Amino acid sequence: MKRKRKIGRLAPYLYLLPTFIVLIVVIVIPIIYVIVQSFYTTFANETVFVGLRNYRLAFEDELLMIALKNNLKLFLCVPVLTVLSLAIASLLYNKMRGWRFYRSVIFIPYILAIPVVGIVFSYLLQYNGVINTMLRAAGIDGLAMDWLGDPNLAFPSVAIVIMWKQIGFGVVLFLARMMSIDRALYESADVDGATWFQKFVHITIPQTKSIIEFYVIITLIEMLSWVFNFIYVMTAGGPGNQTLVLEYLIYKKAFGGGDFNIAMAISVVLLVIASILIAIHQIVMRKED
Amino acid sequence: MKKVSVVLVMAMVVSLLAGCSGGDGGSEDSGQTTLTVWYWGEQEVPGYKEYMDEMVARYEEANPDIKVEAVLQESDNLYTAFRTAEAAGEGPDIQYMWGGTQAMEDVWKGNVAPISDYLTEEELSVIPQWALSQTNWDGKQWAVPAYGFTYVIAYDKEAMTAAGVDPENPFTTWDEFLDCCEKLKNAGITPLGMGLKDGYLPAWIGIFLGQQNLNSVNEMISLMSGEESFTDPKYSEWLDKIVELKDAGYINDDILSLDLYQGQQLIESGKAAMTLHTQPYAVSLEQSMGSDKIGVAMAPVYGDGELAQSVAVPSQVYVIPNSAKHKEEAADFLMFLQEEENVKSLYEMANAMMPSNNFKEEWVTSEIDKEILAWQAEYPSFCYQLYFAPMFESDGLIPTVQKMFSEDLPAADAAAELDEALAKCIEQNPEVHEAFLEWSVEEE
Repeated sequence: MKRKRKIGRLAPYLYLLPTFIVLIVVIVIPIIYVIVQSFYTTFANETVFVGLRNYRLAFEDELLMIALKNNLKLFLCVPVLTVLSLAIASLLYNKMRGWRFYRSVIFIPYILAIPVVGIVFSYLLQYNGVINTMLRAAGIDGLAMDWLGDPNLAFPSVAIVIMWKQIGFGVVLFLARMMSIDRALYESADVDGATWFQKFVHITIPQTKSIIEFYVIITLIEMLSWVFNFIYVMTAGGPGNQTLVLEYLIYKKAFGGGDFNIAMAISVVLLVIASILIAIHQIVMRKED
Repeated sequence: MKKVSVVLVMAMVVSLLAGCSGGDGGSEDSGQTTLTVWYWGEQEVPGYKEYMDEMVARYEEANPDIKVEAVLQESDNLYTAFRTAEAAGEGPDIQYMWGGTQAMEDVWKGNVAPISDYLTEEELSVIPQWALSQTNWDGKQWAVPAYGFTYVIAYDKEAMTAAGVDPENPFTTWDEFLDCCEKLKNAGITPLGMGLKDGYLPAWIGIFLGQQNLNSVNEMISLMSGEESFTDPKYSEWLDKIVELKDAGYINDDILSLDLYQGQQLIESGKAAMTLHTQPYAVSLEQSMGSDKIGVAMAPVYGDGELAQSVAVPSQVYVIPNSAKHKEEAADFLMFLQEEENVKSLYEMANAMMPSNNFKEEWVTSEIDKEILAWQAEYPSFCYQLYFAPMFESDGLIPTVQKMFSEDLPAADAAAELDEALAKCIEQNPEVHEAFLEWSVEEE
């Protein structure tokens, strides 16, 4: 009887054990390994402890600052994405004609594979690509730019493609929340003669606040550590490092130059920044609870 | 019931752990050894995949106990896949690498096993000394050639004729080259087709123009060791030449949008008259488009160094990774590729000349190859890229040359940026740099 009770107490932990082991093997051990290795250097199969040397070299390298700045610039996409997603979700929520169709259309880019999106857009945006050919054919040559080759346009072009791909997630998320808002709130506002904008500001936004907060934090994390594929496929960090981001810098250092230890130091920097964002996310979510 | 499910969970945990423990791939299950080859080359040597498939078939026929799995890699994956696999101790048995420091970097980082531990001097003697010396370091041989090739300027003879340029002898000097470009431009033809987006092009331009004021390999090593500066006109004049071509409008306007191979293909699609190419690719164009359509030329001469009129004849190489499970078999396969019949097949199927004493010039039928062999006999051989300091290309040359096109960076500023990048590369990789200097001195 006593033995049965003991097994009963252990059972939940045993059920969790496989997942726990997977998490340890796949996430915890690699992270610890990366942190430890960031204090070493490897040459001719010999690993030597070098203290903070890799961090010093990483921070002295202007590429780290360029990449960090570009990631921060990508954060500017977050308010744009949030506002646009909310606006589109709100339009769809008001059951505009064909809203189900539009909802599907807007969500399609989100389910496409990033390399596919990247390759298609890198062809579309070539200097002699489809978009510029159409602009020239329409007689507006002045607008035909080197979208990915011009240092002033390359980064905004990539950012726009990222937003195009990501907007569907926000729209679907906000729309789902809006659909669960009590209709009576809107009906009362209608009785009081509220305009669409007043209802949006005073009912929709407050009611979707927790989802907006969630979306903003998640998107910030994505802009920091989820844009590698876009950069890899569309610009390879160029021209002249104009579109370099932290993830691509890590890849370039580790696999382009074989400098794994400096790459690991930069990975730890990225991990710290992402962890701060995740902590903010947790605090916000806890407050909401 | 609860007891049963707990037992099931335990069984899952055990099987999970067993799954994680892995194994050595079980290649010897049927008593057959599986030799894995990761290779590249189709982009610059069309037909190389077909050749490799043929070599695998022949080798397996001669060695029924060995199965060869040859995996063709993409340019972007060539080093990333290898370094990732090697870091995990799961590398292939044979790895293809680009020559010079691009192969030696991995040697210095400990990713490669010395091939001379598995092959005798006599076996290696089939490879000419000049080719072996490119990957010889610390008294050991680390790689053997996969194939050799020559860098050429490929041009469209019809475009030259249309522009009023002699298609058989379009230019020799820089001034003649500029004159040729001007005539092409005036005829409405883009003189040079190139692609800079993926970053491979700057090293190619350097190979054609960078060495022209140098008198010896030593001067290149002095530059790459930081003793000399790119701001010295001797080492930076080629950057001025890039600016000259760009400002005159002799290069395709979408250079920043295109990858290297897309830029090269502009000559095939009739959108440019000239491009930088490899000899095997130029020969494949000669075969597909006709020798009256495609011609090749050496780099136009502007410099006054002894290497001004030199030919770049590098070898791409095969190495045996440190983690390879079948090193002896790998070495045997690589020597198999050096056998006369197979060297001949490489030339016949992929137009590539193996740096091997088994290669016979009498096999050469292509007009382009005959011309190139004459260059090789007449001029010194030097390949600028072979002596790049580790990381210099990715962290220095590529972004700097891209900026020259995207931001109109003046040549003087570009030279200063190259100096800075080189200093950073040396500081970040002191041990690798030291090995590089040792290797280059040995090479010299």
